[in-house]
Amino acid sequence: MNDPRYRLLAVAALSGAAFISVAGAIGAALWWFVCSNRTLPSGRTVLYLGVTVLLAAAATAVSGGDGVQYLVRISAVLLVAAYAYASQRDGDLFDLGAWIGARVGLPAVGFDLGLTAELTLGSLEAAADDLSQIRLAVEQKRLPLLPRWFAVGAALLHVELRRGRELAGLIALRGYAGGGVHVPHFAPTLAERLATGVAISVLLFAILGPRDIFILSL
Amino acid sequence: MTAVILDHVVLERGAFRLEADAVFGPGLHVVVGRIGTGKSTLALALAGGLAPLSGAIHFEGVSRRLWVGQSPGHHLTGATVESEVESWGLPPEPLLGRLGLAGRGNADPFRLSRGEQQRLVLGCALATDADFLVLDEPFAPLDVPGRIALGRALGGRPGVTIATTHTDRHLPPATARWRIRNGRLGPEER
Repeated sequence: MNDPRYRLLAVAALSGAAFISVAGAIGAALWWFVCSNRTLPSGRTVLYLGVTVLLAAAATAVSGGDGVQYLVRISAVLLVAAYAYASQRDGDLFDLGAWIGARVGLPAVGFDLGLTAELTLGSLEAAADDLSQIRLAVEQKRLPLLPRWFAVGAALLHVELRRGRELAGLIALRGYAGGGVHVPHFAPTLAERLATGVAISVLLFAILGPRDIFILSL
Repeated sequence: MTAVILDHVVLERGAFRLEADAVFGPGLHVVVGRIGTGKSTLALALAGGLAPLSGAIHFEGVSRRLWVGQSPGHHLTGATVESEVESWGLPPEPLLGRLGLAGRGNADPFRLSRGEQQRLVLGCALATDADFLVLDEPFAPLDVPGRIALGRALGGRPGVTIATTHTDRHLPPATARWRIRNGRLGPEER
């Protein structure tokens, strides 16, 4: 989905549906299977997340909760999150912030929030790259485990603070002091509108429940 | 004999792909290529930070492998310049003097300029007993005298040293020069 407005709406609706009921979670998973391009993170990430969710579900079951329900709901939320992350493109959050700000009559606030969100997301991606390189660099020094973890954290913090300072200096140099003009262009397709409509239907299904839906249809 | 062999290696990083089939014997190997051609990807793979998609990297007679990336801040673990040198298993003196950091042993390494950090990290890496050293763009933050000094130090090292760079200027005389072009690593034609 290219239009970030529809994507955000669909992701919010599906997350809400998965949170509300198991039926909503199943609906959200079906939406992911039918309406998205079914992109998943790397195999290792899926393995880590899968094991973590399974352990948490087992702990819930052992402590008297409904582990299966937890497993279904969290799995659906993770599928929706994977879709949201994989579909993200540079500039989406900036576009979205500026658009929402203009719609509610606060264009400067929307511009600032959009820019902040965009920079934050960019920093997170850079931080992930930094982390893997810092770990490699620190492992070479053959430090004991605890000092190594501390060193990785400290180096990451310093590197990100430095990057933040340089970035702030750069946008200040370009004349940014708060607010600005940004006119995003959106071109939603019929398929995107339909997919968002289906996502909202899944949310309604989760809120009303299958029984109410069938009564309404009679 | 120390050697690093890239046996039909294919590397992928995002949408980027690099093919390499090469033997790096003892001495200095300079890998040149334009920005974005895959030099850092190759360096990362040689350092063990990226597994090849296919093929294999063999390390023959290598007892210690060391990689220095483009950001010197990634390598800093000491609270002071002195403890930073010690974290590499080295005595601070006389190394700090040689690196132009005499009298700054108690300084915070993160507060050094980027050029000073680079000098510190490279100086420590070169002073170790690593017999396979991979340096990713080591010349970039250095001034011309710094580049010449680094070139001299690289030329005299035992073992295999690989340095990547996007510039063709002020490079040390190398055992071999390699170029990455069109997603493939090959010997430089001179």
